[in-house]
Amino acid sequence: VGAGRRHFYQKQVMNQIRLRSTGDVSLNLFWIGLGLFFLWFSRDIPQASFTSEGDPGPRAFPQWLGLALVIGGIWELIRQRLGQETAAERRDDEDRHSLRPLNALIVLVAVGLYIPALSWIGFSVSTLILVTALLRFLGSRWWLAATVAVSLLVLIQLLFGYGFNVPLPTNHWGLVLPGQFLF
Amino acid sequence: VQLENLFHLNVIVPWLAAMIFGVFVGSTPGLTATMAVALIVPISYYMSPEAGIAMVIGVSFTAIFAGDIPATYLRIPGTPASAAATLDGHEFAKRGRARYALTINLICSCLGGLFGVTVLMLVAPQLAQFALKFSFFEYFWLSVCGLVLGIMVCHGSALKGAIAAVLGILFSTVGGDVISYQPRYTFGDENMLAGLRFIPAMIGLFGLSEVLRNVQRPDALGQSAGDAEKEKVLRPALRAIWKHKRTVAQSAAAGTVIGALPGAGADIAAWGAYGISQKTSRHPEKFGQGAEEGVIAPTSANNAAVAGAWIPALVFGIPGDAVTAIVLGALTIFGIQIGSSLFDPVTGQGPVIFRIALITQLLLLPAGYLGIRSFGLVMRLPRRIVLVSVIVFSVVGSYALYNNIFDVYVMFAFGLLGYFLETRGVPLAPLILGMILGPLIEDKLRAGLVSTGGDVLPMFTQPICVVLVGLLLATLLLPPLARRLKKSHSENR
Repeated sequence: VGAGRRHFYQKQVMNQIRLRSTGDVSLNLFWIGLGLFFLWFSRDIPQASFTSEGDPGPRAFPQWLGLALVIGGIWELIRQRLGQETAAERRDDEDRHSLRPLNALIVLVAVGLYIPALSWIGFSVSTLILVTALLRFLGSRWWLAATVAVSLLVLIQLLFGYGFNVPLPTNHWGLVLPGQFLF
Repeated sequence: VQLENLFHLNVIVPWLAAMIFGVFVGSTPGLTATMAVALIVPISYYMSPEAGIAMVIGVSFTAIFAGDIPATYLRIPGTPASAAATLDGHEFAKRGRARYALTINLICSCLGGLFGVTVLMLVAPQLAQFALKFSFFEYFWLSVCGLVLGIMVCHGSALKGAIAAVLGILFSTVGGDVISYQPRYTFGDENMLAGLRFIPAMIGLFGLSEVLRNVQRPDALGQSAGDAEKEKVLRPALRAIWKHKRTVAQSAAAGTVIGALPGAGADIAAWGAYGISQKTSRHPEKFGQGAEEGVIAPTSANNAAVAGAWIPALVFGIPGDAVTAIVLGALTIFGIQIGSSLFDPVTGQGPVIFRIALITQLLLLPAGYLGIRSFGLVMRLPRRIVLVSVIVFSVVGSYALYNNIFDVYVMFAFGLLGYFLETRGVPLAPLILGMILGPLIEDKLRAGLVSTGGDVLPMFTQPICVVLVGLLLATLLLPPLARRLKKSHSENR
């Protein structure tokens, strides 16, 4: 039993190391990729400024920083490969087994759909759908989810629409209902 | 404007009401202190001059503290100056002690403001003269110092923090160039010309990413997001402040000085004070994990900076930030003469303004307390309701700034970025600090180089630059040196 448990823990530790390592490699590749992106598109920026002598120009600063990002990413990658990361630098792996990353993905997709929907079906309808659906997905009862959605909508319309006079997104067809002036 | 009229009910009531309004606006993510002041100015014209001036000054001091309320409870800074409050304040909230942290925050805001206003009254002309000695290179180094402090005080890898700061500065280069207005990384999109706005980015980085992290814990979604504490918080808060009185004093002093520098503002003051406090603390390792000093330092500094920004504003008419610019405009409409005549012992209106600013600090206590209690009630709701509400408020808050859906996409992208970086142990604070300080660093460096015809030597030889470079080197070199000395000392033993 003891050997089995030791094997189980060893496997768990290896999994954690693999998870951390994959995460850090993707991070360093992200730095390098982003740096290269900024460097590549800095070619479109005019090199010289029309202002007086001494100004390094509008292209210089993004180029220096893009280069710094690439160097930083490569440096981190090498350090990681050489195993020079100190224990303090390694992130604390949270209790990953109890996390549900799928929840984050679903919320992300929902928000990703909600934003273009604001311009198409207006703030009120899209918010009602988003809040009800998300609360239902996160475990609320139907009646509670719908009540919260309506209450939140009334609050935001009163606060922003009337209190601060901020026009909220209306629907694509410019209809009064169900866009800005629902209340 | 008569001094004795200040204590009439028809002045005190609208004054306090305006401050409660300031708390309300400032604590709403996406609405800034600038917006709060801008909204109160038209209303103030219908009041007596005393009430009108008191309302405008009152709101300008309230909205910064109010921004700390959602920063503490939800990790969404209500104003840019509250971003530093997300570090330790939110750690307290995670332990169910948000009300305790915010009570410390409120009292320190009041103390910081009182300190700043007192300095304003005593040394305004002298300090304003000093601020005017800052030219391009001095501002450049000051901004670099702020950025380096911001990187060094963050938890986790300093190198990851530095790379995040570089990324933040890179994001700040998107849009029109600061000097020649040439488009950079706009890809022909006119929305990109204005750049990636700071507030939607901040809401996404701190707000949406926090929601994404929290929804992964299904067991906690039904629990209340608010305070578990039933204990009285006032006495422990007062004891904590007394214990860290040195932090309050040094942060308020740093905030006042930084605030007095035009263009620096309360956000840099808050980060600077946080960094200084960590460097001088006996327990720097506790910063970022719910340290009382980590709450005290930024909040004492950001309110002191508001008063500090008034020093060059009142003496020379140079506003330190956007809020002060609006207040200055409102004061001139009320017939207040800005400049040396303000300090004339017979005709000057300086004493009235100073007294309004002083009383405002005291009125901040009831107005702020009301804000904390109201927000606390909302936070008693189950976490899933709070999280979904945060998503909607993040969207509306990003949109409300310029009524532009593009800003909502920026918020979304930064939310995703924040989630990705945080899960890989990258601190987000340096990124946001890079976005704040990036334009200032580039602008001052390039303007300085233009003024010297490309000669970099003055950057290192001007007296204030020498001091700032020395401070920077000390900040960078002393901690590893001290660690090495300590190590060799223990090895010798």
